[in-house]
Amino acid sequence: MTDLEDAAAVFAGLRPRLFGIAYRMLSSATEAEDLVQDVWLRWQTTDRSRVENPGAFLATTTTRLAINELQSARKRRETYIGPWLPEPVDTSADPYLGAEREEALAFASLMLMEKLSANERAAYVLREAFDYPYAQIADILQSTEPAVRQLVSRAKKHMTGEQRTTVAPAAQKELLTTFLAAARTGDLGELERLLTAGVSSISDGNGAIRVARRPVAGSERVAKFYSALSSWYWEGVEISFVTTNGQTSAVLRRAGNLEGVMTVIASADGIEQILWMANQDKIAPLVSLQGGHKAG
Amino acid sequence: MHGFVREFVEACRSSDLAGVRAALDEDVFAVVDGRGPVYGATAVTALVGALLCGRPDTSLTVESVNGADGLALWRAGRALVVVAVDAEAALITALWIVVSPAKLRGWQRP
Repeated sequence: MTDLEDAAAVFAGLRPRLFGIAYRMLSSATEAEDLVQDVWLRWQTTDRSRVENPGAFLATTTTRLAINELQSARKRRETYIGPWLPEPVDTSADPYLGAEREEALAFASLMLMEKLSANERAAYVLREAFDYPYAQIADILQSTEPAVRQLVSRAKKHMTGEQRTTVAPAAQKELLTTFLAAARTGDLGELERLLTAGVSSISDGNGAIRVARRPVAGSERVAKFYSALSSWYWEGVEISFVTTNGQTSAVLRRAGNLEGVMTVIASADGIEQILWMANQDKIAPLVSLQGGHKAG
Repeated sequence: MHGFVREFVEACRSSDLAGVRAALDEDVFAVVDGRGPVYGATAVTALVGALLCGRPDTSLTVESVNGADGLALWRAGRALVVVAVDAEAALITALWIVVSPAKLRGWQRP
């Protein structure tokens, strides 16, 4: 076997794992594929006689490239029209996608990981899905073991905290009603006080009502968005409340017509997410498969 | 494979929307990539019914999507829609719906 054949065989054996890391970092099979290809090119031109542990070397290269790539991918996704979802990946042949465990693969997890910093995300993925020792993750991230433990613990808190909601039903209802009152009057200070730093607001817009088509993120931007809306949106809107499974939602009507439903997901820190959902009549445009999608 | 995803698919194939709804949690939500969230069993059934069920020249299959049972709607070997499914207590709690061809490049079958 030539040296290059040997390099190719080593790489082929590790490829599923590298792809699994890259996909969990980027939520995109296309971007993960490109990244693994880039790692392969680097592997070909590396002085491999000096690499003691190819698995560790390639995982390190993949993770570091993915951290950089995630930062530019996030900038692109900010301009995506409407909520951004991951690229689905076929896991029939490999249910854990190259990892030791199924962690950090489900859509809900990938969506939550979008809110982690790139380093938090890498530490969480390597630890929880791939079971890397903390010391090795510290090498990969050019950090220290205590710092990595803290990254993983912060990430886990974020991941589990949001998946298992949240606050007592009464507190959620209280936050929703206080939020609606502040949104109506456009009280910027009060809005900011109610929102957590990482808050996001998702509305379906759909062109039918003049609201943002893409999620608005961050307490300052979300507060400004609802404050700006207050001058025209709420005129003539009546609010009633419905409660299902301990979650209270506000039903918005204008002149008796259903306008939409709004609810908040809250944690002990305040409002984490505002969901604004359209009237059922407004669903129809969704089902057109020929709709103008942008690549993303 | 979980029975309820299979049941959902069979109901959908025969355009049995009551059967589709029976597989959904009351508080189910669907998020369509690039579009928006749809909330509640009634609205999600309407969306799914129009998007996935009984469309001519298509086939709906259960697939392994991101490590769990999900769905794909096919036409001529090309996936038109891929759906990742969240479930709890044998009911579907979330559908993550991707229709963008750019995001479905890995979903071609001969």
